[in-house]
Amino acid sequence: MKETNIPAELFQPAEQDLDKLEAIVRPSMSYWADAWRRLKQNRAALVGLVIISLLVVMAIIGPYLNEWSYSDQVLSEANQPPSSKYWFGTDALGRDLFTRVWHGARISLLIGFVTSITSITIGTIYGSISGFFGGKVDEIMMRIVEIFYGIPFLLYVILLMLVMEPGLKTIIIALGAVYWLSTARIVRGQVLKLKEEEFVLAARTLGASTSRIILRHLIPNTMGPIIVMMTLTIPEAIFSEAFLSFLGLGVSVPKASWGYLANDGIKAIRSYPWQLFFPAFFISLTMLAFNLLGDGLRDALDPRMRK
Amino acid sequence: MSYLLRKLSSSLLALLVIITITFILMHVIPGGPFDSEKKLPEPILKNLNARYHLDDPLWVQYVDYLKNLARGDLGPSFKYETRTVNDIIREGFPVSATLGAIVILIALFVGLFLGVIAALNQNKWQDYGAILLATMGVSVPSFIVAGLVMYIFAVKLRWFPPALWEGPKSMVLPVISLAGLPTAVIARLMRSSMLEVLNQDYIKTAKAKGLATKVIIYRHALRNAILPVITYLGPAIAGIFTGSFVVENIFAIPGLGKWFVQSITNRDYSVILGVTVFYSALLIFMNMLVDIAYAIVDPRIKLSDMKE
Repeated sequence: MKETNIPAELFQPAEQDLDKLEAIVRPSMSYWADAWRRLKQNRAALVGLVIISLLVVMAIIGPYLNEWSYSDQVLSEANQPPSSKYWFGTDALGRDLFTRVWHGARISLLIGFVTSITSITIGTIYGSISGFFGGKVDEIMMRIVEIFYGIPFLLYVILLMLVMEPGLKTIIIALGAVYWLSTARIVRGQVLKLKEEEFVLAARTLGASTSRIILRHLIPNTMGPIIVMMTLTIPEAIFSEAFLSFLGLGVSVPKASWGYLANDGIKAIRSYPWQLFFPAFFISLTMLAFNLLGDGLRDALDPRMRK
Repeated sequence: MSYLLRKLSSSLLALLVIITITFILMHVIPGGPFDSEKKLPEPILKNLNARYHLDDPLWVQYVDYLKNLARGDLGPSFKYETRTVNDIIREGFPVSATLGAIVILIALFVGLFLGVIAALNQNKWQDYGAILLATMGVSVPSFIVAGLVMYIFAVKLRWFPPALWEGPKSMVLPVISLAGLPTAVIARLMRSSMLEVLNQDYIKTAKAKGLATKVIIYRHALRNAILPVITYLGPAIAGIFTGSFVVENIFAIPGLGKWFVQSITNRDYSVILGVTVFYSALLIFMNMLVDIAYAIVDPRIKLSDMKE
């Protein structure tokens, strides 16, 4: 090392102002603000978010944009290709596909959102109880999850749909009853880790009850993974509904979900391909948008994924 | 081997739960299997019920069903008089199994390849291309892929037959329809686990030792990165089977899936019950094989067993 001689007079005492020294220069950022900042940098996730917003808006106003309702039949105008009169064409009974597609969007999105919220709620409660109590309770509760995990769940949704009378409510119950398993696992893992933290001990010392600790302290701290799960469950639920409608177990006619429309479209694929194309495009677009948003949220909210 | 024992007991318990749930569900369905448009005369109905032991108390039927199951007998079909559920499975399953096996092999091959390429070229065009493909694969349901490839390759281009199960050419479109999802998931899993493995210390050690990049990738990284993909194989097989319900119907393939859907439309309860139990047992067995494979590939599981 080279020796450098710096004359003493060049040194100056540093200013020591304790107030300035400890001042916070940047605005403090909450977990959610930070997550939103990360999400905004993820272009794919933003595209997903925009597509979802557009789809929701269209689901609300789409069915009113022209003069036909989803069940109006004009038999003389059956199987028309897309035109300025029928924007997406018509089906075999002369019903306007544009109106039917957006009406289907309502059903599919509703099923997606409600199923997701139901199953996440069940899974969160189940998982946090299992993780918090630990020991024998945890062992038994997780064993039950493990057993159900081995069941091919779509088979069970099919059986449930056979037993219950077909309809929107039934689909939501049947799907909600099977999707909570993975949420339960994830929440349990998080709670198992979190319950050892000091803030739980602090809450306990202050006399907080168990339910208060779980609801006010543990669950809010697992909100990140829960929201990611919620976003990724929506496209799965939409897919399953489409699948069931495809098997003839979905919502009842003349209501039309996307899966039902796609099933009709496949039957007519040789002659009238647009009848498949439009519902197929919107199912795929919706699932893509939710997957993009979900992946982006996972990167933004899941601390383990941070680089 | 407490790990395997635990898995085995879980599997057997799961199977019993499945059989019981399915049995109960099938018997609480409103209306009997012989309800039809025109009502059957009372004595005939009585005889039919007696013939299929439907007049026994429920628990007797349940015990009988379990006894028959133990002998591998899934009972008669209520709709097709001369056929049993076993006949239907014997006829349909080989077709579905062939289709499923081809799909899983292709999904593994293509998915692993895409995942590794993406991870080795992180943030380059190969990576973005693979991610794009994988995200699309996850987003487009199998029945839609089926409809689209049928329209493009069978109706418009006439390269492949649009239906039936005759020879390798007729397999192409159904395989494409079913393979999309598992390929995409495997590619995503492989990419992220490969990226994680490539950051591990033992890879740095291997590099520091002066090993060739190829050797590091094939001998060290790949073998460790493949673990999450193995755990996915169980759900993948389940997904392919349920997916084949629809795809077999679209392409008129005489597999078990087509029979199953038909029995749903016909409300042929004994076939629904039998096929569900058969599929569940098969999947549980597959999951067990996957667990065993996992224990063989990942030595850490055996280690934790010894500590217990």
